[in-house]
Amino acid sequence: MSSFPTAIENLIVQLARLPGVGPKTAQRLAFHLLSLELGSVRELADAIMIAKETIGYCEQCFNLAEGNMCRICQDQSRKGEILCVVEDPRDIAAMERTHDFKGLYHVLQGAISPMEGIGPDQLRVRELLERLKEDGINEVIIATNPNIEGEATALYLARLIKPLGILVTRLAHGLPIGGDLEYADEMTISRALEHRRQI
Amino acid sequence: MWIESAILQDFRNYTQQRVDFSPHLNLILGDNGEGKTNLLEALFLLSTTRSHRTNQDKDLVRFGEQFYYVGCKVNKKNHTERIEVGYSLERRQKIAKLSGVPLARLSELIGVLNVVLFSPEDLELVKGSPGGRRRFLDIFLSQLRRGYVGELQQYNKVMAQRNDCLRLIQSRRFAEDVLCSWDEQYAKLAVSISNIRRQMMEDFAPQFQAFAQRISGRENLTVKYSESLAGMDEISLLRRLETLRPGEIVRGTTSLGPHRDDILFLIDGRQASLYASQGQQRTAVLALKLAELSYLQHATGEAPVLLLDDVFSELDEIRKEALVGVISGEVQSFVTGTRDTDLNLMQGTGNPMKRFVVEQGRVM
Repeated sequence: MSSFPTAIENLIVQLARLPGVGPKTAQRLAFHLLSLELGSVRELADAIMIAKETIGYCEQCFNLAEGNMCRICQDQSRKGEILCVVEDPRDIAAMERTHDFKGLYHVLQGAISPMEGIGPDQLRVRELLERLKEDGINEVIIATNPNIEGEATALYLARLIKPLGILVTRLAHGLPIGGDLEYADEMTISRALEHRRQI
Repeated sequence: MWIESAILQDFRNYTQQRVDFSPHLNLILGDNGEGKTNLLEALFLLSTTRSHRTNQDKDLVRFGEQFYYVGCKVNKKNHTERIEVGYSLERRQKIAKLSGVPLARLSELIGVLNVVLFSPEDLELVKGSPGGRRRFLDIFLSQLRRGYVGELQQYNKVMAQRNDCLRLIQSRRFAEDVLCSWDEQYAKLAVSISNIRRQMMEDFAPQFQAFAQRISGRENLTVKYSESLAGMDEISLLRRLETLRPGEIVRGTTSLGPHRDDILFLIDGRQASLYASQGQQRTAVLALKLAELSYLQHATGEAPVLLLDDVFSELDEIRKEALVGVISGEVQSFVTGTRDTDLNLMQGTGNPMKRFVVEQGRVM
């Protein structure tokens, strides 16, 4: 199939397994790596190995963590009474960029999607309920994605959490800031209309 | 609105073709298999983003080629718009452009060019499966209301997830309470789509009846929206779903909702799908199409384009005249036929018309 030595071929195959990398990009990356000095390549290889070996999940919120607990859970200045539930650790990064949220997080590690065989048992739902029973949490903000799977997950969690006497809220749906109304799609506008508020 | 010109590249049996049309009547003549229908198919695709004959875009690429490209210039009330649709076989990707700007979603194209297509397959509409009638309803509504397609797609996605959820509950991999999270979204979308369809059909039914009366002169032909939800609101639907749940879990499918809707044709109150003669079916379909055209014209303020694929030969004199009455109005129409058909009636319209002869994928 190809005229490359086996080692290069193998490298290309490995790189092509990464998300967003096709065969052509994989080939370009492989040749770039080969052109680097040995030290730089070792740095990259070490970085991958160290990250993989030292990063695990926070035992409290299931965010990515170095050690048993993530930085946010360790931070004493954060308010323990408000919990924000997200699908993915990347969503925490997005929330943190705002600097507006001072509470703690809980990462579900996905959303309910029967098509992919993902139900509550495949998510960190049981762990969330355990947390809610123990700690003094009085509000849960559900920040799952605004698609049908995220919505289903939010509705499911709300049904479970409300009976515990905890306030359950959902991030608002609406128009993007700085955008033009005329460019927004119909679904977004009708949601924004539905959830309009008094000023 | 009317189509000024169209371009077809490697589409069906066309290699490269540009055609300038008349704003009134366009007669497209030729023997069978030369490419008359393919030309109308291209115009239909530019309106709805899909072919009326196949769901597979690869079938539309000319044999041995990698892409197809179709485009047209639409003259609307105050301005012109350029519509382009292209498909790459290799990437399995279809893209659409509106006046040069690529669209993020194909569905954004729907409603720019409105067409009413009448093809021989439509003659099955009365006696055929409900799916064909729902398709008619959905294409009609998508041209009328901008958000409809998006909502329908959302509905289908939620229903697919809900059905999978039912099956997983059946096999005991999911607990039953997971279903509630889908039911709420499902009920909201189902009720919304039913409401849109019901409202439209209430307005539409009298217009249909008037056209049917005009064509046949006597029969009392009516059309009725047969609604799966029967006027339920979200709360009553959710309650109903709860009682249906055991059965739904056994079957693994959603038993109630717009995907079960139908349009009923009635002759003197009796269901036409059981009793209608060939002639009555033709009257019903013709009235349906003419009423669709008139409805779209009033609702959008602009007449849609009428595409008549080979149906003239299927109609008798009375029905032909009814059709010609419409063609002679302000509506731009495309009529296909073999060389020796239909000409006499057409010339009677007095409107300027253009004749095209199609031969082996080329328009002369």
